[in-house]
Amino acid sequence: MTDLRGLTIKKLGDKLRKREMSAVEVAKAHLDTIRGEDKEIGAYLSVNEESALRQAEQVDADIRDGKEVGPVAGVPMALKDNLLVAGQPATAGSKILRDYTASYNATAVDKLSAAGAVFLGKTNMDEFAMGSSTENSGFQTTRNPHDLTRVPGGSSGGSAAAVAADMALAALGSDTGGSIRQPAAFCGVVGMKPTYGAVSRYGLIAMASSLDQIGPFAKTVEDAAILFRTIAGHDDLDATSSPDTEYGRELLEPDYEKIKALTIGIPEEYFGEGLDSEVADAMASIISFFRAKGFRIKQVNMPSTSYGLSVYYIVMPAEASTNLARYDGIRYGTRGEGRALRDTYFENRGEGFGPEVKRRIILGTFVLSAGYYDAYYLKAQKVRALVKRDFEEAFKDVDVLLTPTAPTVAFKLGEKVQNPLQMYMSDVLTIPANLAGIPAINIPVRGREGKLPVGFQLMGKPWREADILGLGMFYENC
Amino acid sequence: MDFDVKKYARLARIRLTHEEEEKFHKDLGEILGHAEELEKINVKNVEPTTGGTPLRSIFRGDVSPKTAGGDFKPGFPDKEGGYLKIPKVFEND
Repeated sequence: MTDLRGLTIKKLGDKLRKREMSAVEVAKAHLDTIRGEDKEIGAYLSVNEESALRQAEQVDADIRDGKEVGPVAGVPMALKDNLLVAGQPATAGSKILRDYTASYNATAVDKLSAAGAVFLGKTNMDEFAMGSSTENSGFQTTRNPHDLTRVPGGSSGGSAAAVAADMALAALGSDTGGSIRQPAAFCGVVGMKPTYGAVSRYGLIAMASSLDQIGPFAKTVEDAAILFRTIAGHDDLDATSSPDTEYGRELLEPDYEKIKALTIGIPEEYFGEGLDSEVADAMASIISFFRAKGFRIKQVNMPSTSYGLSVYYIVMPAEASTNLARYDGIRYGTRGEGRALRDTYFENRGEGFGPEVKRRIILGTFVLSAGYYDAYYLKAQKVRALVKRDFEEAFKDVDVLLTPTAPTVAFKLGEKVQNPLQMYMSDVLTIPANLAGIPAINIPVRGREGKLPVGFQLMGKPWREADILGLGMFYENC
Repeated sequence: MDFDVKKYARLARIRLTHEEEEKFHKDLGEILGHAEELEKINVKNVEPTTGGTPLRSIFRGDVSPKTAGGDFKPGFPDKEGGYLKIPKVFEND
């Protein structure tokens, strides 16, 4: 049996090229782990063994034929179920898309596929990515592999749990307010949200279009960098993908002299009330690590931070209510007999959407309605500008910001499900990066064997993924 | 604030059960209550932003693009011959 514990994308690539391991062998080992573990964990909504093995066989054939294969070739991956793969289901965790089969590939999926990645299956998520625990899935509960009585975080909880439990070597998720970084923190894996516009959103089932961004989950920062470099780049099919992105070799081969010259900012506002003492202690150890290595560390102030949550819960539902108008029971879903159009809408949306999705659509409809638009939506967009300005000011003094990723460790299943506002609070430290469009990564704090994972977050200047990845690799290899 | 759940659910074309109406009335009141903190923030001379990174408008020629989205017809719930069927728009015959 192939040992998957210490395997990384980097190591797998070396082994494949030296023919010490085959892509089929490593795909089968992951599929075996899924068969053994996933009944308990519930990370996958669908597994496609046949197509996975076909992709793996192709990689092995290419290597046998002496073809040059890239670093992603043969990597068994999980995909969040809001990413489209032609011919496979894509439910976005919603009953309204229970019977939907995607007719085309997301651009990120296409790029990975061209690079030889092997797709094992689609992972569970909060319905339409709305949630922080994956408990809002319309289909099943996903459990945290470190403690089965706890949540994996969300909304990309299935992808995070799959990587943490060796049921995938890496995964893709999407992050609107922390949906990659928070589950990565809860499950003890690396997860990155790239700069807004760095990765094409074409073929990602949209939640809030000014905030959504696709990003990688991996076991190491280096692996996350490999995946990010593969999926990044301009795409004509997404008007918000930036035509100016150029990511060079520094993403994969950081210049550590330059990395050591970075100034790390510590924003006081991210260490306030509500932070678990366990998380606070872990952060103190990370800060002293970087201080001991000679990094310049500077306190910064970001006074608008605390308004991020309120801004988010106006902007995001507004955009989501608009995006989800397409689920009208006409193009997707089941259709009742002989009813008029209006009844079809009410019936399908009433039955197909779960509680959190309904709550956010109704809230979004309200904040966009005549008479309330200025007071809520427009006001929120102005305060969003203040949140963004805080980052611009901070980045005049420092190069990266270091904070906790989540205020607590993974909470218990069922603990927050009845109280939406309390659930929303678990994203309070990740939301600002989405509002400002900057890149941010979760990195697990080392030396916590036997304890629940805690992660720290590095946020960088727009388009400077190289800084946060480089600093992360420095931490990882030191 | 007192939030009229029924009105906005109707605008959003979502049918709610009585229990959902009551639960959402409470939840949305709390969420909007929290958001009231925004009222006191001074945003004089602040321009609203719609996103984090500056975007330029991208134009393409006014030609029919290739159907990048693939064929959606197999997934359509109701069809007859080469046509897609939808329910009647007006309530009365």
